[in-house]
Amino acid sequence: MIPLVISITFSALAALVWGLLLGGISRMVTARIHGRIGPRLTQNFIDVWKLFRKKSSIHHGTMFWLAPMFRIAGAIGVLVLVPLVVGNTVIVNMSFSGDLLLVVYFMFFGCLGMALGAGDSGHPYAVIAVSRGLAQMSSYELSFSAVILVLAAGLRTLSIEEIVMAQQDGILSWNLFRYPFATAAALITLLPMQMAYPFSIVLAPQEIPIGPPTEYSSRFLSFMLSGRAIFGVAKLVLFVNLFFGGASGWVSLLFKTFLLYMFPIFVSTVFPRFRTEQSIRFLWFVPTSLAAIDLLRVMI
Amino acid sequence: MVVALAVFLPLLGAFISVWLTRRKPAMSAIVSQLFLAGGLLSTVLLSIRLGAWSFNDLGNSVILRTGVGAPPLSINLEATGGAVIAAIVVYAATILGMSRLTSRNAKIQPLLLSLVTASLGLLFATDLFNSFVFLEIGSIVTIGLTAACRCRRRWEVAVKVALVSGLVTILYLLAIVVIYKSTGELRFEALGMLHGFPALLVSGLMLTVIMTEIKAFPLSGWGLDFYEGASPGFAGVYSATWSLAVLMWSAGILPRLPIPNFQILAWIGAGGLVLGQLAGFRATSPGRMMGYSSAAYASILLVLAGTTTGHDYLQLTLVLMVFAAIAKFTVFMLADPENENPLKSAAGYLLLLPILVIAGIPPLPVFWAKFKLLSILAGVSPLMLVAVVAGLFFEAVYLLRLWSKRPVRLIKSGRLVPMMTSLLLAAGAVWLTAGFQRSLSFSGSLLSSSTLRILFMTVFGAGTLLTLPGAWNRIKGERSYWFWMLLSGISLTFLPMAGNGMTFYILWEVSAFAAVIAVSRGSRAATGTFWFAVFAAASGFLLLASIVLSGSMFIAPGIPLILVAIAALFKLGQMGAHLWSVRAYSAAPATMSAFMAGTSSKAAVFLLVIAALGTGAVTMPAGSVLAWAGVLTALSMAVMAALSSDYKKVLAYASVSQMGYILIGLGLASVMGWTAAIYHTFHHFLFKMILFLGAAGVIFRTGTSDYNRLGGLIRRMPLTFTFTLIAVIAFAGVPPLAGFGGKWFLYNGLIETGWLPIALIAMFASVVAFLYAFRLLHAVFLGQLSTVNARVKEAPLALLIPQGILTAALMLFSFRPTLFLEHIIPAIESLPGLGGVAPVINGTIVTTPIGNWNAWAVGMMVMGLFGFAFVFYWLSGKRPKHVGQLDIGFAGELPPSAEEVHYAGNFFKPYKRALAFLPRIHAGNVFSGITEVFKIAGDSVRAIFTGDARTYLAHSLIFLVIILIFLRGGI
Repeated sequence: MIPLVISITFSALAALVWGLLLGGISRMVTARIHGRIGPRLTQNFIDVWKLFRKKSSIHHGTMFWLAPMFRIAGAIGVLVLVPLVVGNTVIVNMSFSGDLLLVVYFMFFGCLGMALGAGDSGHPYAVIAVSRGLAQMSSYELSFSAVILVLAAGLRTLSIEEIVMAQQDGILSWNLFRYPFATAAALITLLPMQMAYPFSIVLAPQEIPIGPPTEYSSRFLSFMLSGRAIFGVAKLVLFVNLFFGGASGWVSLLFKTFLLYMFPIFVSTVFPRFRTEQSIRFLWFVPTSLAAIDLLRVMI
Repeated sequence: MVVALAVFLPLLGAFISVWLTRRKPAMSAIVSQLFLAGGLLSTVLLSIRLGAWSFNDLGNSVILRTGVGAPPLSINLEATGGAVIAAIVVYAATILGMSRLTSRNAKIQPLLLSLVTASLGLLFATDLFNSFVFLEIGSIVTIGLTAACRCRRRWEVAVKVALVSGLVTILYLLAIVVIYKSTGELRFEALGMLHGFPALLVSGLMLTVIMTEIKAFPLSGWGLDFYEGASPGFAGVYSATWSLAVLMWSAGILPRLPIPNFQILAWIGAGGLVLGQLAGFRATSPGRMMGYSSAAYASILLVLAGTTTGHDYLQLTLVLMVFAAIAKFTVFMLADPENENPLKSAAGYLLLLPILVIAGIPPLPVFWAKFKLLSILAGVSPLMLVAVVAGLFFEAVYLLRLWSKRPVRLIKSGRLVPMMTSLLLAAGAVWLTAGFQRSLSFSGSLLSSSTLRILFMTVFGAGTLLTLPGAWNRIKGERSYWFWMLLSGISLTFLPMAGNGMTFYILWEVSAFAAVIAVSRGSRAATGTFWFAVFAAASGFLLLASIVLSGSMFIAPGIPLILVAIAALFKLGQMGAHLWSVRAYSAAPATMSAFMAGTSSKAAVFLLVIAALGTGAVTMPAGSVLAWAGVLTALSMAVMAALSSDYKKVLAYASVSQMGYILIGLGLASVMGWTAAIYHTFHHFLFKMILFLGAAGVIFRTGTSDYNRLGGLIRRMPLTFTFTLIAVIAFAGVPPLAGFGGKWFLYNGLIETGWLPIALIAMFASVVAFLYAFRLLHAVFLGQLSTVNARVKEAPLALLIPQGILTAALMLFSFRPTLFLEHIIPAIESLPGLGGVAPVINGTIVTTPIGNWNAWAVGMMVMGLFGFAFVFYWLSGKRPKHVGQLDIGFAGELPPSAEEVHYAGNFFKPYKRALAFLPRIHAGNVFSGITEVFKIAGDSVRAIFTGDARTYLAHSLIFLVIILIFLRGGI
């Protein structure tokens, strides 16, 4: 029990640090592409700490202040349910408590919490953002579900460890090469998951002032940002495990998540934002068709 | 002597009253009633002497000879047990209806008394010419009585009756001449002595005569006009006296006709039933509807005559005709002739009981006879069975429309007569049920696993108990419905204990119709009730047909199983049948909706389970078809729920959608699939009930269920919000709460069986569920609290406590699902015929061939993380300050009002815009299309009833020609 708590805490802190660092790197990279200098690498750390230490804070109701807790619990939960380094016996966390389906559904936990908090804030823009987010999420989940079914039916397992184990036969056994279309579809769905342009319709600066976190400030906002960082890392680790052969060690984990993180960053600096219905239509048809190709392969 | 008194006392009274109504009108009514009472007493004595009341020994008789010599020079009467019971009804109806008829015009008393004599004479006649005499008396008196009322159409109707009676007289006399010429005598037995051409001619003539007199389709035109145009008082008395007598007389003659093959009669009856009732599809006037109903019973008599003989025939004829007569009498007595809409002020129950009797709903009297008849038909010809069931269904449709669409008023005084006759019907129900109760069985042998049986009984029983307290809180316009809800719940709780098809069917129908009645007590409930009633009747008839077709098994494989599957699909609201579900849930009182969602829908699941098991191993009728139906419904209903703005409607769509998942599970026919289905059934009961009870609380306090008028209620109803939140997280399938388990088992099962497209659509549907789940929470509880609702109180305890209990159960089973699964999985494994690998339980971990799930660990993890977050909050310094509702970042200004910053309407506009290119397939159009087909078919059949008496005469003559050709064996 105690070792479990220690390993969870360690994983969460590591993910937090890595996530905020990745965020800082992305801000620098984006800025350079735009021709600016950009903030410091450690800017995100400073932001989180500053917000946390603010003396005064306001809240709009019970659900409002519960929401960041939902967010953090959801983020750390997903992180903990996904195996970080498969084969590592020190940091196992809870990766044997649930399989891929559990992880996918558990990802909704944090989102639901944040949505509820946004609702309770009473600000209409927060809710508008949530409705757009829900619409988009249901659209990309269609293709993501197809991808999961491809993996489950193709590899005959839902357990993430076994999916990773099936990719250990050299680089060509990665699901990236075994099921390329499904991986392509999954990478496309990674974009809205990470709120990257062109799918950034939820937190849509200049459109709806930042969306759900509109009313959040000080420590609540600090929790939100931390949760976002950890969640981001958790999703990246999940994708690495599913499509890129998993991580054989800590360095490999950091390296692969870094590369994968750069993909949405590069895409988002190039594209403007979609309108909601464009995003819905795109996600309904393009990644779904790609995943369907591999789904048909698996079925036959 | 008694027989003579019974028959001739009224005649004596008629003569006396002719004189009395002129001289002493006040006394004449009393004197007439006295004569009638005397007659009634004699008939009752006679019935006791004959031992007719057990409905078993109907052949005994007493013979009376009058005059000298043999008939036709004298009148010989034979009172059989059945005829005597009918006679009692004749007397009772006249006594009860007399005051209403004579209050306007005392001079018709002699006519009424003569009608009674004619009826009794016809009932007891043994001779064709004697019958003719009484027939003539009856017809002439009918013409007189029709013309004697004050209604607009009296002359038109009287002339029609006269013309038709005239034709009947001519044909009948022709038949008598032929019979006398051939055999030299005119007793009933003479019919059996005919051969060759006379037999053919007489059969044709008599058949035409009978069919015209009893108003069977296609010769029912004049009857329809008569019932519609005559005064309701007279029409009521007529249907319970003369009409009954003619039917019983015909029942005596039909078996004796020298017809080569009696099945011809049955086919005429069955065909007439279908077409005749189809014609009545669009009837709106209550009198005309009763006319169609009369035609239905006449057709049933023909079917009976064609398929049954001996004791069965006597018993069934008696029960059906007598109780239908009483019921029609009651309906007519409730009608107010002064009113444009005659049943406008009819009291609800008093109208309902006779309608249910006519429709044959158990446990009311007519049901037993219909069940027996259908069982007999199943052995004769399935096609005939289908025709008869279809005809009965069409009849039920317009009858239910008659009941559900009339405006509602409370019972007023002056309803004494209908109340008495309703009591008679109820007494008949009890009597017959006691007689038939030997064929009921509560052994529970339909489902071999007692664990599953206990599970279903718990669901039904707990559902009833938990919603009962809530039934006390009624919003404005709702009437008391707790009794019907309780009745429905009790019969459902006993449903798993049913041991044979008949018991199952009775419990099923009682619960369905009790639910219909309870729903009708909601405010503005007319349309919803009608849809509900029609679909309940449809699934009931399908179930009845398949039980009857299956013989000794519960449900035989093949056609009966498919019929049952369709019945279950209707009841679950799948594939377009959701229309009734949504309308009924919206119309019903909110607590009743909770009851229905939590329990009634599970009854259909139970039906599928035992039907699939009924043959000894699981035989799912085309399991993949069921699964596709389920998944497409799940998706389409989820989308409808997301786009809907009414609290109850959303929950209704959600209910139907979740039922789709259960259907997929059942359709898999594997241990995994059935585990998913049973798991989901139980947990859906838990969380849907919480949701509906919460909705009941909100609607009760705020008076509205419209999303656009709610909002921000978390501040005023925090407990309701908490329970609803937990239930919503559960049904969205988010771990660690319970709903995830159902989804997990289902996907495991689908991947194991290889049905990936269904799995994909199911996963997508469960994501769409998030949309309406969130919208529900936000529109009602979050956002801004409007000034209108600023002072609402928390929901009453009667609703909160059940929600609390259910939530506690939900949490328990979320964290420790193995407590539930370790009983259920072995039970499902023990069912024969299920394939696939069973999930394995190891402590708190559930393992399948491809995945694993440890709910306890996940739950503890979430609790731990929350705890950790709480601690962090605590440690992080000064407490946050709660600010006012309108204190939001609004570009430096103050928001004008709460209503203007609450965003709940048109929530998914981007979605609608994005998918606007998809065609909008509206299920309502499908059903409108189907109804249109029936309406057009019905109209084309109805076109033969032109309202012109000459057409009706032509009908009879054409029928005579055709039947002669048929009997001869073709041209």
